[in-house]
Amino acid sequence: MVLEEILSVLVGIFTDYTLRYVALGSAILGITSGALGCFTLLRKQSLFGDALSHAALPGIGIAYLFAGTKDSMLLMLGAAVFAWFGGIVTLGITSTTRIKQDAALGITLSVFFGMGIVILTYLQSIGGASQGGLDRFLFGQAAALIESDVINLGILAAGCFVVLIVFFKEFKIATFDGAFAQSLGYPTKYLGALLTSVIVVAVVIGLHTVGVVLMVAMLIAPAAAARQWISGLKSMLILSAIFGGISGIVGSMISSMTEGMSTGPVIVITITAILGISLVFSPKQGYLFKYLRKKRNYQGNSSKIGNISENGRSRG
Amino acid sequence: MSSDLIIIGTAVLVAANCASIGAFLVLRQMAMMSDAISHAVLLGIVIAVFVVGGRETVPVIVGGVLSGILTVSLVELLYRTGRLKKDSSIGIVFPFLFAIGVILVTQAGNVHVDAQHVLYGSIEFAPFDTLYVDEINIGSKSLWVLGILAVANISFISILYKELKISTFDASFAVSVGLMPVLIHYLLMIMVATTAVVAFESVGAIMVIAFFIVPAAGSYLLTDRLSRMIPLSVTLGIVSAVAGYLFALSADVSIAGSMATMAGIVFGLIWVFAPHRGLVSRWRRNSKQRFEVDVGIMLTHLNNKIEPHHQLTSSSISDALGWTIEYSRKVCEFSLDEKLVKKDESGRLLLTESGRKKAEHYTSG
Repeated sequence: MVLEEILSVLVGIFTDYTLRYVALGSAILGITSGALGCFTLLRKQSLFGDALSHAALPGIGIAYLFAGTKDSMLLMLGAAVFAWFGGIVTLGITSTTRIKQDAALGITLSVFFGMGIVILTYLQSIGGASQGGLDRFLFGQAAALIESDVINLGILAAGCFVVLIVFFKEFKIATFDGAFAQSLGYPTKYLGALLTSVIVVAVVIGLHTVGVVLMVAMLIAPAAAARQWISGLKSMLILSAIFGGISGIVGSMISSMTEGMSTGPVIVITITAILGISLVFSPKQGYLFKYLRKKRNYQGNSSKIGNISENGRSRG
Repeated sequence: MSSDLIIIGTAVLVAANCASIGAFLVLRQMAMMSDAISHAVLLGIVIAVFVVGGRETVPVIVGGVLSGILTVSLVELLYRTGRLKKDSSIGIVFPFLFAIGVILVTQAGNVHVDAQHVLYGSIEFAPFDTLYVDEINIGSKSLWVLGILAVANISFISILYKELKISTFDASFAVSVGLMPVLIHYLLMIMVATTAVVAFESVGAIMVIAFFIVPAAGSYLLTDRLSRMIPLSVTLGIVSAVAGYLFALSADVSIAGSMATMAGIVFGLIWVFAPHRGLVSRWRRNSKQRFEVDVGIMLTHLNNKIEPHHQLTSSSISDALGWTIEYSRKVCEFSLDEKLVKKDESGRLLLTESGRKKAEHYTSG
């Protein structure tokens, strides 16, 4: 029964118009955030994505307020501007006060989110039902994706990857050894800003499918999972993108099988499951193999100790 | 009691409860842990509602606190393995637990929790939820629960004040004098979870974070003493809550959202105008220091160029040091007022005795 259902969903990806775009949109998000998330993870800015995604919310409302359309490109532009602004505010707080990064992130995410809610409820009070579609950005509703949305998402994702490929070497050096990059004459400040910008774009893509609240997991979890298997940056990026893409497709398929289920939470649970598997089973560092190794070493040692004491006794 | 008063009272109590505990979160750099806990309590609340079959206060609080502790433990478990950094662990654990919570909420028709209200609460309905003892109406439930929580928080902070303070500022010293900072850490996390789950009911997850972090961060910029920071943080929280409520009423928008916005505005004002740490006073201090340095540079310049035929006026200084004419004039006037330089009859600048001493002090030291 379940198998039949899964099969019909799998077939649906190729035949069903809606499902194809839902899966495609989620896959685009997973691949982009998977690849870019590696940088946030390695630059120890994991929760930066959380603040950025929350800060995007008022941008969506304001774009809608001024433009009056639900054109996804315009809403995404508004979201991107505010996400960027949120990032600048966070950096501004940490660089001009003694407040540490964690509190600065908390301030940005909660205050911007509050502003977003104010604007959304304001739109509700003036526009009635016409605002209805905007609150889907809270948890993401991939089922609402249409062809033009997916094309937009694809264009944005392609832009991210072009930047990523062109500046790969620079990003790599700036990530692993910022001081060294600076000594080589790389403009590390601008590189950091550029990297933040592409992450902002990834966040904006994610608003459609996983929503504001859960976006942070899409940046961290695939990268953290890939990190358990591989240590080279390039292969880690690729694996992380694959993990992200798989979780996007699987998550949107599962959520399409059940009526009224938000896509975002399901995708997040899928990618967390992949991370869990990676943590336990990865051959070099996984818990399972560590445990087995420990056990073997322990047994080996104890038999050696046994031998030594035997020798001692025979000599005595 | 009128419903306005009940809503304001609820908001004030939420703000006070969160802001007092929040002072420790900001100082211990655990602000994002409160983010994680406030999201994760949803799962515990939903499971409690499933088990009991209704939104009874006590099971909901117990469920929320348990899931808060689960969050903290999971984050530490992941982080202790050394495979993940602390912030990454936080960013993985709480979306996961929150996602499960959201799915349970949306899939179970009989749970009266709306997924969006999880995020921005329903303080608007606080007046309609009354508490009955022996079928006698004893007033708003949220006021009672939050009031009891306030008593608990005040006792927690005042009884363990010394322990909290020492373990916050110097954990290794706390260990050495036997204060058990780990125990304090978990007790604090339990209080955070309790506060989060109680406040969650009225203002939602994100606003809980706003009240935990924003007022405390603001008061951190205003004072250096913990004993002042806590009441100040509570005051800022209450001010934001009341201002937010009034704004929400006049603009007909979400109450919780406008409270968080007000908290942000209050923080922004402090960030800019705070007496010692604000942007304005920083800028003034910087420009004052730069001016003093520039006076020194000019005196040194005069000291080096003292030759009878050298014409030193404010315009030649501006050429030599690359300053604008106005700025050199300002520096010259300041030095004349301070009697560091004097003008001879032809308008040339000459060092006075104190000016020469100062210039020599700069060059030698």
